[in-house]
Parts: sequence; structure tokens; C-alpha cells
Amino acid sequence: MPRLTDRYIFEVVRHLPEGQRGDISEEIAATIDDMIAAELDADTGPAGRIDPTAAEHTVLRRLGDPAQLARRYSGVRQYLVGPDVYPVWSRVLRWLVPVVGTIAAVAGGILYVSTTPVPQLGDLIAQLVTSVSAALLWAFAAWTLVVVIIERTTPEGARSALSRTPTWDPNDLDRPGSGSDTRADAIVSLVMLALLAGVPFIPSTFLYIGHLNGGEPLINPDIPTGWVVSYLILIGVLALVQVWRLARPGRSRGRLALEMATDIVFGVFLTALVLSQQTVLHPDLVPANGDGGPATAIRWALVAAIWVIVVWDQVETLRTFRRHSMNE
Amino acid sequence: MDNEADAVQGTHLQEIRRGSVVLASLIACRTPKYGYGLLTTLADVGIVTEANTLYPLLRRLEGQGLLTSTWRTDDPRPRKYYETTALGAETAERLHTEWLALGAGYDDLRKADA
Repeated sequence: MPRLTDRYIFEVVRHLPEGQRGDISEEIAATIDDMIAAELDADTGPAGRIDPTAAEHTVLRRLGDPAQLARRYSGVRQYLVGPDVYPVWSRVLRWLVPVVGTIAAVAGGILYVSTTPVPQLGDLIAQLVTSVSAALLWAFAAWTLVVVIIERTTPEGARSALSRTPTWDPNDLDRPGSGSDTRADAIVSLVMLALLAGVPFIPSTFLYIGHLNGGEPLINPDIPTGWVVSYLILIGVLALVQVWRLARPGRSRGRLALEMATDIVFGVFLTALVLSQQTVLHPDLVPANGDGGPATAIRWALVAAIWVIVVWDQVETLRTFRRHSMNE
Repeated sequence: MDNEADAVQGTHLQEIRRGSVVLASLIACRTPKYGYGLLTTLADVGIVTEANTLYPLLRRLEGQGLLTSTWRTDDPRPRKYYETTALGAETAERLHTEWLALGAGYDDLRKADA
């Protein structure tokens, strides 16, 4: 067999699973031989003499880029996030990016204030830019990886767990708002609530500040259990509202009011929690230098972060509601 | 005709041919065919396809249970022969029925516009 053909076949099969290589190698080799033979039968060249090298070149050119041929053989989906799951992927990112960015900014600020004897604004900004950009990259990569794994493990033609809606019915048009949009929003909200529910149990090592408190939780372990239980119950209530949206999608003024009210109650609860405790974060993460110092700054930064997220959530909820109203 | 129109037409032709190669392969392989033999059989009847498209397609159809394959080493060159399975024949029948229905539909549309 000509050497060029061997190299071509090697280039094709090296991209394929081990178990398929032998069979595909032999099949391509037989094909190339057949095609070269056909070329030689059909074309005797300008000088009237058969040129096997030219025939081989012609055949390999017709077969095309070996990497592309390998991709066709492998049947692997040649995209990262497919159209079926893209809406949920992008919607989760729209929520994940600002929330993770805010949390990373607060964590970065705490780290800086806790470890720097004489804080300076320039250093603080540099610290925040570093921690926020790293956290955003991690969040983006982690969420994308989850979506890619779910999609790759879903058989071809089957509906993935992240599809916006299992079925669609024209009757959905009669309901206020878009059913599939509402379901996607509900899935996103449930993901975010699950993350929030985990906050009291996240160790500080998760944010690379484990050396500050020996890897204990980010949250002060001395916070009375009642507060933690109430926090989880409130998240449970918020999750129930989202489950309701999932089960009965569409636009509803009553549910809008309930959503906004529970969000505000949650914000008020978190504010009361932060203000009523000596420190809501683990004491080793917060320098105890009395009122007016970094501890107070951290406390008010947390309150500000809570209300930035609550207000932003309210605005998003209202915008979605109004967008759906325009479709009616 | 400009290049842009050529490109658009090329895309649509490719789309319409893609499904027809599946049906043609299932019909042609009712008698066992090796890859290059199938390629020339299809070309002879005007169904032009490229080897780099046909071979991966044959493996996919085999994976779906529509074709089965065996290596024959008694030929001058060892060759892999593909043959349509019972499921493949049933699928080909359904596709052929659909193809005829579509063809009839196109004809009706053309006559209606004439």
C-alpha cells in the first residue's frame, strides 16, 4: 500500500476509539485501493502513462481532511451546548453571573480586610477584580460542564433533563405568559435556591480562605439554630412558589405578588439576621475591632449585597411579567 | 447566477440528497454490497454521494440495526460487505412510501401552478 495512504489512514483512526480503529482502517484501505484502481482505469495521464501517485493524491483529496472524516465516523456531536438545552444554559448564566459576582466581591472584600493591616482602596479594588473574575470564570466553566455532561449522556433523539418543556400545547397560548419561559425561569430559580440552601454548610475552603478559620463553615457556627432553621424554611417556601410555577406555568398577578412578597420577606429576614448577630460570618473571618471598623463595614456590605440582589430580582420578575403581558 | 445563489441552492440540494442516500443505500444493499461498489451503484443511477459521507453513514445505519456487515476475504482485496436487515427493509419500505407521497405532492403543486 502506498505510504501516503498509510499516513492518511493513521490520521483518520487516531481520532477514533481504540476498538473501532482496526475495522475502520481496513475498510478505508480497501476503499482507497478500489478508488485508486478506478482512477487508474479511467485516466492514463497527459503522456498516456498511468501515474499511480497522482491517482493516489486525487483519491485522498476526494476523501478530504482526515480529521473531518474521523469526526463523521465518530458521530460525536460537534458543539458544546446544543439548541435543546441552550435556553436553560443561558438563562441560568444570566442569574448565576451577578449572584456569584456579588458573593465573590463580598468574599474578596472580607479576605482583604481580614488579612491586610492597613487596607487601601487601590489594593481592595485589585483584590475584588481578581476574586470576582476568577469566581465568574469558575461559575461559567462549572455550569457549562454540567450542561455538557447532561447533554452528552442523553441518547441522541431523546429529550434531555434540561429541555425547556417536555411537551408544548397550543392551549399554552391561551394561558397568560409563555409556559416554556415560565418553566425555564422556575428551573433557574430552583437551582439558585439550592445553592443558597447550601450556604450555611459551605466550608471556607470552598472560597480558598480555609486558612483563615481552619476550614470551618463560612457562616458563624454560633448563630442560633432557630435562625438557620428559619432560613431553610424560607428557602423552602420560595422553592414551593417555583415548583408551583413549574407545575402551572403562565402569568398570574396573585403569584407575582406572592413572589415579590416572599422575596422582600427573605431580604428583610437576612437583613435582620446580619444586623442582630455579632457577626454572621465565621468570627475568624472577621476582624473583631469594634464598631466603625472593618467588621461594621463587612456587615453593611452584606446588607447592601442582600438588597442589591433582592431589588435586582424584583426588577427581573417585573420585567418578565410585563414582557409576558405584551404577548397577551 | 451569482455565487451567493449557488451557495444557497447547494445547501438545499445537500439537504434533499442527505435523506435520499439513506433510502438508496437500504434499497441497494438488499443484495450485499461493499462500500466502493455501493458508491458506484448509486452514482450509476444518478444518486451522487461522496465516499467520506457514505462510509460513516453505512456504519451509523449498521449501528441502528438497519444494515449488517461481514468481511469477505475471498475477494482479491478483503472487503466489508453491507446487507440490509429485516428492520432495514421495513424502514426502506416506509421511507419509499413517504418518498412517493412527497413526489406526488410536488407534482400536484407544480400542476396547480401551471
